[in-house]
Amino acid sequence: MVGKRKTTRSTKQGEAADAAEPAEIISLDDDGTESSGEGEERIRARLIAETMALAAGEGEGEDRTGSTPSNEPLPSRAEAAERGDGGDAEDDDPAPVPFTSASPTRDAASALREMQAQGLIELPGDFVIDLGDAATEDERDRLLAAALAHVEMQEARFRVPSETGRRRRWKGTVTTSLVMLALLFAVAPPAVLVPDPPPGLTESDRTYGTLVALLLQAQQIDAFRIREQRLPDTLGDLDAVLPGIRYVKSSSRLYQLVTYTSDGIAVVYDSAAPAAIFRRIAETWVTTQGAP
Amino acid sequence: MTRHDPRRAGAARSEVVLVIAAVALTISALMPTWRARSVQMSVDEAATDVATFHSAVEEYFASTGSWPAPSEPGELPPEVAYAFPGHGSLTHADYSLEWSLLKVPGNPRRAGVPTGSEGDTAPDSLGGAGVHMAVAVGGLTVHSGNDALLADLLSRYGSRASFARDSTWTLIVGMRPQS
Repeated sequence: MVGKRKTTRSTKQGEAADAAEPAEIISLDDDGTESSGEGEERIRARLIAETMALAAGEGEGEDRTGSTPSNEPLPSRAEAAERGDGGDAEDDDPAPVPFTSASPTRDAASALREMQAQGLIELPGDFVIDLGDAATEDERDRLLAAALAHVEMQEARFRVPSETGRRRRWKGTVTTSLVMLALLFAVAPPAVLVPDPPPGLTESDRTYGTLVALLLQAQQIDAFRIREQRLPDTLGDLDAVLPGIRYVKSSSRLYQLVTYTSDGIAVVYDSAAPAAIFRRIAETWVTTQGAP
Repeated sequence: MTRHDPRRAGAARSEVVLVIAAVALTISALMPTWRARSVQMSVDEAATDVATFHSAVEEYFASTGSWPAPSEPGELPPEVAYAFPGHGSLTHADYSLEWSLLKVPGNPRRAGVPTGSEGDTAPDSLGGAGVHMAVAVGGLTVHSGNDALLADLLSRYGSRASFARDSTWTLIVGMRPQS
Protein backbone atom coordinates (compact mmCIF):
# COMPACT_ATOMS: atom_id res chain seq x y z
CA MET A 1 0.00 0.00 0.00
CA VAL A 2 1.19 3.43 -0.77
CA GLY A 3 0.47 6.83 0.45
CA LYS A 4 0.57 8.78 -2.74
CA ARG A 5 -1.61 11.82 -2.26
CA LYS A 6 -3.30 13.96 -4.76
CA THR A 7 -5.21 17.12 -3.97
CA THR A 8 -8.42 17.55 -5.89
CA ARG A 9 -11.86 18.94 -5.54
CA SER A 10 -14.45 16.82 -3.96
CA THR A 11 -16.90 15.41 -6.39
CA LYS A 12 -19.74 15.59 -4.00
CA GLN A 13 -22.77 17.44 -5.20
CA GLY A 14 -24.69 20.09 -3.34
CA GLU A 15 -23.88 23.22 -1.53
CA ALA A 16 -22.36 21.53 1.45
CA ALA A 17 -19.95 19.68 -0.74
CA ASP A 18 -19.14 22.81 -2.74
CA ALA A 19 -18.50 24.78 0.39
CA ALA A 20 -16.15 22.17 1.75
CA GLU A 21 -12.44 22.54 1.54
CA PRO A 22 -10.66 20.55 -1.11
CA ALA A 23 -10.40 17.07 0.24
CA GLU A 24 -7.32 15.00 0.11
CA ILE A 25 -7.84 11.86 -1.84
CA ILE A 26 -5.42 9.18 -0.99
CA SER A 27 -4.49 6.91 -3.77
CA LEU A 28 -3.89 3.44 -2.54
CA ASP A 29 -2.26 2.37 -5.71
CA ASP A 30 0.99 0.68 -5.09
CA ASP A 31 3.78 2.64 -6.63
CA GLY A 32 6.51 1.03 -4.55
CA THR A 33 7.49 4.11 -2.65
CA GLU A 34 6.27 2.75 0.66
CA SER A 35 5.71 -0.82 1.39
CA SER A 36 5.86 -1.19 5.11
CA GLY A 37 3.02 -1.89 7.48
CA GLU A 38 3.49 1.52 9.02
CA GLY A 39 2.40 3.28 5.79
CA GLU A 40 -0.65 1.13 5.72
CA GLU A 41 -1.46 2.07 9.25
CA ARG A 42 -1.02 5.74 8.49
CA ILE A 43 -3.33 5.51 5.53
CA ARG A 44 -5.95 3.80 7.61
CA ALA A 45 -5.69 6.36 10.34
CA ARG A 46 -5.85 9.18 7.84
CA LEU A 47 -8.91 7.74 6.16
CA ILE A 48 -10.73 7.60 9.43
CA ALA A 49 -9.61 11.06 10.39
CA GLU A 50 -10.75 12.46 7.08
CA THR A 51 -14.06 10.75 7.40
CA MET A 52 -14.56 12.22 10.82
CA ALA A 53 -13.47 15.67 9.70
CA LEU A 54 -15.77 15.58 6.73
CA ALA A 55 -18.67 14.47 8.83
CA ALA A 56 -18.04 17.16 11.37
CA GLY A 57 -17.74 19.85 8.66
CA GLU A 58 -20.93 18.87 6.95
CA GLY A 59 -22.83 18.60 10.13
CA GLU A 60 -22.25 22.17 11.31
CA GLY A 61 -25.70 23.54 10.74
CA GLU A 62 -25.56 23.42 7.00
CA ASP A 63 -28.58 22.35 5.07
CA ARG A 64 -28.21 19.06 3.47
CA THR A 65 -29.24 18.42 -0.03
CA GLY A 66 -29.93 15.23 -1.81
CA SER A 67 -32.54 12.65 -1.88
CA THR A 68 -32.91 12.57 1.86
CA PRO A 69 -34.43 15.72 3.24
CA SER A 70 -32.65 17.07 6.25
CA ASN A 71 -35.80 17.30 8.25
CA GLU A 72 -36.82 13.78 7.51
CA PRO A 73 -35.77 11.08 9.94
CA LEU A 74 -33.20 8.75 8.55
CA PRO A 75 -34.37 5.16 8.14
CA SER A 76 -33.53 2.76 10.85
CA ARG A 77 -31.91 -0.64 10.36
CA ALA A 78 -35.32 -2.31 10.26
CA GLU A 79 -36.56 0.11 7.63
CA ALA A 80 -33.49 -0.42 5.60
CA ALA A 81 -33.99 -4.12 5.79
CA GLU A 82 -37.56 -3.76 4.59
CA ARG A 83 -36.37 -1.84 1.61
CA GLY A 84 -33.92 -4.61 0.92
CA ASP A 85 -30.97 -2.29 1.23
CA GLY A 86 -28.41 -4.64 2.64
CA GLY A 87 -30.68 -6.43 5.04
CA ASP A 88 -29.88 -9.79 3.51
CA ALA A 89 -27.16 -11.32 5.60
CA GLU A 90 -26.67 -14.10 3.07
CA ASP A 91 -25.63 -11.65 0.40
CA ASP A 92 -21.89 -11.59 -0.13
CA ASP A 93 -21.87 -8.07 -1.52
CA PRO A 94 -22.13 -5.46 1.13
CA ALA A 95 -25.47 -3.72 0.82
CA PRO A 96 -25.43 -0.05 -0.05
CA VAL A 97 -25.95 2.33 2.76
CA PRO A 98 -29.33 3.97 2.23
CA PHE A 99 -28.23 7.56 2.40
CA THR A 100 -27.31 10.23 -0.05
CA SER A 101 -23.78 10.96 -0.93
CA ALA A 102 -24.05 14.37 0.61
CA SER A 103 -24.93 13.05 4.01
CA PRO A 104 -22.15 12.48 6.50
CA THR A 105 -23.44 9.01 7.06
CA ARG A 106 -23.00 8.21 3.46
CA ASP A 107 -19.49 9.64 3.43
CA ALA A 108 -18.49 7.70 6.46
CA ALA A 109 -20.00 4.57 5.00
CA SER A 110 -18.17 5.17 1.75
CA ALA A 111 -14.91 5.55 3.59
CA LEU A 112 -15.54 2.39 5.50
CA ARG A 113 -16.48 0.57 2.30
CA GLU A 114 -13.29 1.77 0.76
CA MET A 115 -11.32 0.51 3.69
CA GLN A 116 -13.13 -2.81 3.46
CA ALA A 117 -12.44 -3.05 -0.24
CA GLN A 118 -8.78 -2.59 0.47
CA GLY A 119 -8.84 -5.26 3.12
CA LEU A 120 -8.06 -2.94 5.96
CA ILE A 121 -11.22 -3.70 7.89
CA GLU A 122 -14.01 -6.22 7.87
CA LEU A 123 -17.65 -5.23 7.71
CA PRO A 124 -20.65 -7.48 8.21
CA GLY A 125 -22.72 -8.33 5.16
CA ASP A 126 -25.76 -6.51 6.46
CA PHE A 127 -23.84 -3.45 7.42
CA VAL A 128 -26.18 -0.52 7.97
CA ILE A 129 -25.47 2.60 9.92
CA ASP A 130 -28.43 2.61 12.21
CA LEU A 131 -29.27 6.01 13.56
CA GLY A 132 -32.28 4.63 15.37
CA ASP A 133 -34.85 7.17 16.31
CA ALA A 134 -32.62 10.15 15.75
CA ALA A 135 -34.82 12.72 14.13
CA THR A 136 -32.80 15.87 14.25
CA GLU A 137 -29.66 16.80 12.46
CA ASP A 138 -27.75 17.34 15.66
CA GLU A 139 -28.77 13.98 16.97
CA ARG A 140 -27.64 12.29 13.80
CA ASP A 141 -24.34 14.07 13.89
CA ARG A 142 -23.84 13.13 17.47
CA LEU A 143 -24.56 9.49 16.77
CA LEU A 144 -22.34 9.55 13.75
CA ALA A 145 -19.50 11.10 15.67
CA ALA A 146 -19.92 8.51 18.37
CA ALA A 147 -19.86 5.71 15.81
CA LEU A 148 -16.78 7.06 14.13
CA ALA A 149 -15.08 7.54 17.45
CA HIS A 150 -15.86 3.94 18.23
CA VAL A 151 -14.29 2.87 14.96
CA GLU A 152 -11.28 4.98 15.71
CA MET A 153 -10.97 3.46 19.13
CA GLN A 154 -11.13 -0.04 17.75
CA GLU A 155 -8.56 0.78 15.15
CA ALA A 156 -6.32 2.24 17.81
CA ARG A 157 -6.53 -0.98 19.72
CA PHE A 158 -5.05 -2.80 16.78
CA ARG A 159 -2.57 -0.09 15.99
CA VAL A 160 0.15 -1.90 17.83
CA PRO A 161 3.56 -2.14 16.33
CA SER A 162 3.89 -5.57 14.91
CA GLU A 163 6.95 -7.60 15.45
CA THR A 164 9.63 -7.27 12.94
CA GLY A 165 11.25 -10.35 11.57
CA ARG A 166 14.41 -9.57 13.48
CA ARG A 167 12.57 -9.42 16.77
CA ARG A 168 10.77 -12.67 16.04
CA ARG A 169 14.06 -14.33 15.25
CA TRP A 170 15.53 -13.01 18.49
CA LYS A 171 12.66 -14.45 20.49
CA GLY A 172 12.90 -17.76 18.69
CA THR A 173 16.60 -18.01 19.39
CA VAL A 174 16.14 -17.21 23.07
CA THR A 175 13.25 -19.65 23.40
CA THR A 176 15.19 -22.44 21.73
CA SER A 177 18.21 -21.77 23.91
CA LEU A 178 16.12 -21.82 27.07
CA VAL A 179 14.45 -25.08 26.10
CA MET A 180 17.77 -26.69 25.29
CA LEU A 181 19.26 -25.51 28.57
CA ALA A 182 16.24 -26.78 30.48
CA LEU A 183 16.60 -30.20 28.87
CA LEU A 184 20.32 -30.23 29.57
CA PHE A 185 19.81 -29.29 33.21
CA ALA A 186 17.11 -31.93 33.58
CA VAL A 187 19.24 -34.70 32.09
CA ALA A 188 22.69 -33.73 33.32
CA PRO A 189 22.59 -30.81 35.73
CA PRO A 190 25.91 -29.00 36.11
CA ALA A 191 27.83 -29.59 39.30
CA VAL A 192 27.34 -26.04 40.47
CA LEU A 193 23.59 -26.60 40.64
CA VAL A 194 23.78 -29.93 42.42
CA PRO A 195 24.31 -29.72 46.17
CA ASP A 196 26.78 -32.06 47.76
CA PRO A 197 25.12 -35.42 48.28
CA PRO A 198 24.70 -36.50 51.89
CA PRO A 199 27.29 -39.05 52.95
CA GLY A 200 26.29 -42.65 52.56
CA LEU A 201 27.40 -45.78 54.31
CA THR A 202 31.06 -46.61 53.96
CA GLU A 203 32.43 -50.07 53.33
CA SER A 204 33.75 -50.23 56.87
CA ASP A 205 30.31 -49.34 58.20
CA ARG A 206 28.80 -52.18 56.21
CA THR A 207 31.49 -54.66 57.23
CA TYR A 208 31.12 -53.72 60.85
CA GLY A 209 27.38 -54.09 60.55
CA THR A 210 27.78 -57.55 59.07
CA LEU A 211 30.03 -58.63 61.94
CA VAL A 212 27.65 -57.21 64.55
CA ALA A 213 24.72 -58.95 62.89
CA LEU A 214 26.57 -62.29 62.97
CA LEU A 215 27.48 -61.80 66.60
CA LEU A 216 23.91 -60.87 67.56
CA GLN A 217 22.58 -63.91 65.74
CA ALA A 218 25.10 -66.11 67.53
CA GLN A 219 23.95 -64.65 70.83
CA GLN A 220 20.37 -65.54 69.98
CA ILE A 221 21.48 -69.12 69.41
CA ASP A 222 23.47 -69.19 72.64
CA ALA A 223 20.50 -67.81 74.53
CA PHE A 224 18.35 -70.53 73.01
CA ARG A 225 20.89 -73.16 74.00
CA ILE A 226 20.93 -71.91 77.59
CA ARG A 227 17.19 -71.98 77.73
CA GLU A 228 16.59 -75.23 75.81
CA GLN A 229 19.85 -77.05 76.54
CA ARG A 230 20.23 -77.79 72.87
CA LEU A 231 21.03 -76.06 69.63
CA PRO A 232 18.15 -74.95 67.45
CA ASP A 233 17.51 -77.05 64.39
CA THR A 234 16.92 -73.97 62.28
CA LEU A 235 16.96 -70.26 62.80
CA GLY A 236 13.20 -70.42 62.71
CA ASP A 237 13.30 -71.83 66.23
CA LEU A 238 14.63 -68.50 67.49
CA ASP A 239 12.61 -65.51 68.54
CA ALA A 240 14.71 -63.09 66.53
CA VAL A 241 16.27 -63.81 63.18
CA LEU A 242 18.41 -61.33 61.31
CA PRO A 243 17.94 -61.57 57.56
CA GLY A 244 20.63 -62.80 55.20
CA ILE A 245 22.34 -65.16 57.62
CA ARG A 246 22.69 -68.87 56.95
CA TYR A 247 22.84 -71.30 59.89
CA VAL A 248 24.77 -74.57 59.69
CA LYS A 249 24.47 -77.00 62.57
CA SER A 250 27.60 -79.12 62.29
CA SER A 251 27.00 -81.19 65.46
CA SER A 252 24.85 -81.17 68.53
CA ARG A 253 27.27 -78.69 70.10
CA LEU A 254 28.76 -76.74 67.19
CA TYR A 255 27.34 -74.49 64.56
CA GLN A 256 28.43 -71.93 61.99
CA LEU A 257 26.80 -68.77 60.79
CA VAL A 258 27.58 -67.53 57.29
CA THR A 259 26.76 -64.27 55.62
CA TYR A 260 28.21 -62.17 52.84
CA THR A 261 29.45 -58.66 52.60
CA SER A 262 28.27 -56.31 49.87
CA ASP A 263 31.35 -57.34 47.90
CA GLY A 264 30.28 -60.97 48.04
CA ILE A 265 32.93 -62.02 50.53
CA ALA A 266 31.76 -64.70 52.93
CA VAL A 267 31.98 -63.96 56.63
CA VAL A 268 31.79 -66.97 58.93
CA TYR A 269 31.11 -67.18 62.63
CA ASP A 270 32.30 -70.53 63.94
CA SER A 271 31.03 -71.26 67.43
CA ALA A 272 34.04 -73.46 68.14
CA ALA A 273 36.60 -70.77 67.39
CA PRO A 274 35.08 -67.38 66.76
CA ALA A 275 37.33 -64.86 65.15
CA ALA A 276 39.00 -62.39 67.45
CA ILE A 277 37.04 -59.52 65.92
CA PHE A 278 33.82 -60.98 67.32
CA ARG A 279 35.29 -61.08 70.79
CA ARG A 280 36.43 -57.49 70.50
CA ILE A 281 33.01 -56.39 69.35
CA ALA A 282 31.35 -58.35 72.13
CA GLU A 283 33.53 -56.63 74.68
CA THR A 284 32.26 -53.23 73.58
CA TRP A 285 28.65 -54.14 74.30
CA VAL A 286 27.58 -54.25 77.91
CA THR A 287 24.06 -54.92 78.96
CA THR A 288 22.95 -52.60 81.67
CA GLN A 289 19.26 -52.31 81.10
CA GLY A 290 18.06 -55.44 79.35
CA ALA A 291 15.08 -57.23 80.76
CA PRO A 292 15.77 -60.74 82.10
CA MET B 1 -16.15 -4.48 13.79
CA THR B 2 -13.35 -6.42 15.42
CA ARG B 3 -10.39 -7.65 13.53
CA HIS B 4 -8.07 -10.57 14.20
CA ASP B 5 -4.48 -9.69 13.64
CA PRO B 6 -2.54 -12.91 12.98
CA ARG B 7 0.80 -11.19 13.51
CA ARG B 8 -0.22 -10.01 16.93
CA ALA B 9 -1.55 -13.45 17.83
CA GLY B 10 1.73 -14.96 16.71
CA ALA B 11 3.66 -12.52 18.84
CA ALA B 12 1.55 -13.37 21.86
CA ARG B 13 2.13 -17.07 21.27
CA SER B 14 5.87 -16.63 20.98
CA GLU B 15 5.91 -14.65 24.21
CA VAL B 16 3.95 -17.38 25.99
CA VAL B 17 6.36 -20.02 24.70
CA LEU B 18 9.26 -17.87 25.84
CA VAL B 19 7.83 -17.59 29.33
CA ILE B 20 7.13 -21.34 29.47
CA ALA B 21 10.70 -22.07 28.41
CA ALA B 22 12.04 -19.75 31.10
CA VAL B 23 9.89 -21.43 33.74
CA ALA B 24 11.03 -24.87 32.57
CA LEU B 25 14.65 -23.79 32.80
CA THR B 26 14.14 -22.46 36.30
CA ILE B 27 12.44 -25.65 37.42
CA SER B 28 15.11 -27.89 35.94
CA ALA B 29 17.83 -25.74 37.53
CA LEU B 30 16.21 -25.92 40.96
CA MET B 31 15.26 -29.59 40.73
CA PRO B 32 18.53 -30.98 42.23
CA THR B 33 18.23 -28.64 45.19
CA TRP B 34 14.61 -29.62 45.74
CA ARG B 35 15.53 -33.29 45.49
CA ALA B 36 18.34 -32.90 48.03
CA ARG B 37 16.04 -30.99 50.33
CA SER B 38 13.43 -33.71 50.02
CA VAL B 39 16.00 -36.36 50.96
CA GLN B 40 17.15 -34.30 53.93
CA MET B 41 13.55 -33.83 55.06
CA SER B 42 13.02 -37.58 54.88
CA VAL B 43 16.20 -38.16 56.91
CA ASP B 44 15.11 -35.66 59.54
CA GLU B 45 11.67 -37.21 59.71
CA ALA B 46 13.14 -40.68 60.19
CA ALA B 47 15.50 -39.42 62.89
CA THR B 48 12.60 -37.79 64.69
CA ASP B 49 10.55 -41.00 64.52
CA VAL B 50 13.45 -43.05 65.83
CA ALA B 51 14.07 -40.64 68.68
CA THR B 52 10.38 -40.60 69.58
CA PHE B 53 10.14 -44.38 69.43
CA HIS B 54 13.35 -44.79 71.43
CA SER B 55 12.10 -42.48 74.17
CA ALA B 56 8.73 -44.18 74.24
CA VAL B 57 10.11 -47.71 74.66
CA GLU B 58 12.64 -46.59 77.24
CA GLU B 59 9.85 -44.91 79.15
CA TYR B 60 7.71 -48.02 78.83
CA PHE B 61 10.55 -50.20 80.10
CA ALA B 62 11.21 -47.85 83.00
CA SER B 63 7.59 -48.01 84.07
CA THR B 64 6.86 -51.69 83.44
CA GLY B 65 10.22 -53.46 83.53
CA SER B 66 9.60 -55.09 80.19
CA TRP B 67 9.82 -54.17 76.56
CA PRO B 68 6.86 -53.73 74.25
CA ALA B 69 5.98 -56.82 72.28
CA PRO B 70 7.72 -57.23 68.92
CA SER B 71 5.93 -55.95 65.87
CA GLU B 72 6.08 -56.49 62.16
CA PRO B 73 7.90 -53.93 59.98
CA GLY B 74 5.84 -50.76 59.80
CA GLU B 75 3.51 -51.89 62.57
CA LEU B 76 3.14 -49.61 65.53
CA PRO B 77 3.30 -51.46 68.86
CA PRO B 78 0.20 -50.55 70.85
CA GLU B 79 2.30 -49.95 73.96
CA VAL B 80 3.93 -46.92 72.38
CA ALA B 81 1.12 -45.82 70.11
CA TYR B 82 0.52 -42.82 72.32
CA ALA B 83 3.84 -41.39 71.19
CA PHE B 84 2.64 -41.27 67.57
CA PRO B 85 -0.75 -39.61 67.68
CA GLY B 86 -2.53 -39.82 64.37
CA HIS B 87 -0.18 -42.50 63.05
CA GLY B 88 -1.62 -45.91 62.33
CA SER B 89 1.67 -47.38 61.26
CA LEU B 90 5.37 -46.73 61.10
CA THR B 91 5.58 -47.08 57.34
CA HIS B 92 6.55 -43.99 55.39
CA ALA B 93 7.37 -43.34 51.79
CA ASP B 94 11.10 -43.65 52.30
CA TYR B 95 11.42 -45.91 55.31
CA SER B 96 9.64 -48.12 57.80
CA LEU B 97 10.34 -49.00 61.43
CA GLU B 98 10.36 -52.41 63.04
CA TRP B 99 10.53 -53.28 66.70
CA SER B 100 12.00 -56.62 67.78
CA LEU B 101 13.40 -58.26 70.88
CA LEU B 102 16.89 -59.73 70.99
CA LYS B 103 18.62 -61.89 73.56
CA VAL B 104 22.09 -60.87 74.50
CA PRO B 105 24.47 -62.15 77.12
CA GLY B 106 24.02 -60.40 80.40
CA ASN B 107 26.89 -59.03 82.41
CA PRO B 108 26.61 -60.67 85.83
CA ARG B 109 29.00 -58.34 87.52
CA ARG B 110 27.30 -55.19 86.30
CA ALA B 111 23.86 -56.63 86.74
CA GLY B 112 24.65 -57.86 90.22
CA VAL B 113 23.90 -61.43 89.27
CA PRO B 114 26.15 -64.11 90.80
CA THR B 115 28.50 -65.65 88.33
CA GLY B 116 27.80 -69.28 87.64
CA SER B 117 30.41 -71.98 87.53
CA GLU B 118 32.17 -72.75 84.31
CA GLY B 119 30.13 -75.88 83.96
CA ASP B 120 26.97 -73.89 83.58
CA THR B 121 28.02 -72.34 80.34
CA ALA B 122 27.91 -73.72 76.87
CA PRO B 123 31.40 -75.04 76.24
CA ASP B 124 31.73 -74.63 72.50
CA SER B 125 30.73 -71.07 71.98
CA LEU B 126 31.87 -67.60 72.61
CA GLY B 127 29.24 -67.61 75.27
CA GLY B 128 31.32 -70.10 77.20
CA ALA B 129 33.45 -67.30 78.46
CA GLY B 130 30.73 -64.94 79.56
CA VAL B 131 27.19 -66.00 78.94
CA HIS B 132 25.70 -66.91 82.23
CA MET B 133 22.35 -65.42 81.60
CA ALA B 134 20.56 -63.91 78.64
CA VAL B 135 18.74 -60.68 78.81
CA ALA B 136 16.31 -59.22 76.34
CA VAL B 137 17.07 -55.98 74.65
CA GLY B 138 15.13 -54.14 72.05
CA GLY B 139 16.05 -53.82 68.44
CA LEU B 140 14.69 -50.82 66.60
CA THR B 141 15.30 -51.42 62.91
CA VAL B 142 14.82 -48.90 60.13
CA HIS B 143 14.32 -50.38 56.69
CA SER B 144 15.17 -47.98 53.90
CA GLY B 145 16.71 -47.99 50.48
CA ASN B 146 18.06 -44.51 51.15
CA ASP B 147 21.72 -45.00 51.96
CA ALA B 148 22.06 -41.44 53.22
CA LEU B 149 19.25 -41.98 55.69
CA LEU B 150 20.94 -45.08 57.15
CA ALA B 151 24.30 -43.30 57.30
CA ASP B 152 22.75 -40.33 59.05
CA LEU B 153 21.15 -42.55 61.69
CA LEU B 154 24.42 -44.42 62.17
CA SER B 155 26.29 -41.17 62.72
CA ARG B 156 23.65 -39.92 65.17
CA TYR B 157 23.61 -43.03 67.38
CA GLY B 158 27.15 -44.29 66.85
CA SER B 159 28.49 -47.66 65.88
CA ARG B 160 28.61 -48.97 69.44
CA ALA B 161 24.87 -48.96 69.91
CA SER B 162 23.74 -49.41 66.35
CA PHE B 163 24.82 -50.93 63.11
CA ALA B 164 23.87 -50.72 59.47
CA ARG B 165 23.65 -53.67 57.18
CA ASP B 166 22.31 -53.98 53.67
CA SER B 167 19.24 -51.73 53.63
CA THR B 168 18.68 -51.68 57.37
CA TRP B 169 19.93 -49.82 60.37
CA THR B 170 19.37 -51.29 63.83
CA LEU B 171 19.56 -49.55 67.15
CA ILE B 172 20.00 -51.81 70.15
CA VAL B 173 17.84 -50.36 72.88
CA GLY B 174 18.77 -51.26 76.43
CA MET B 175 22.48 -51.72 75.89
CA ARG B 176 25.09 -49.20 76.74
CA PRO B 177 28.51 -49.26 75.19
CA GLN B 178 31.40 -49.96 77.51
CA SER B 179 33.17 -46.80 78.49
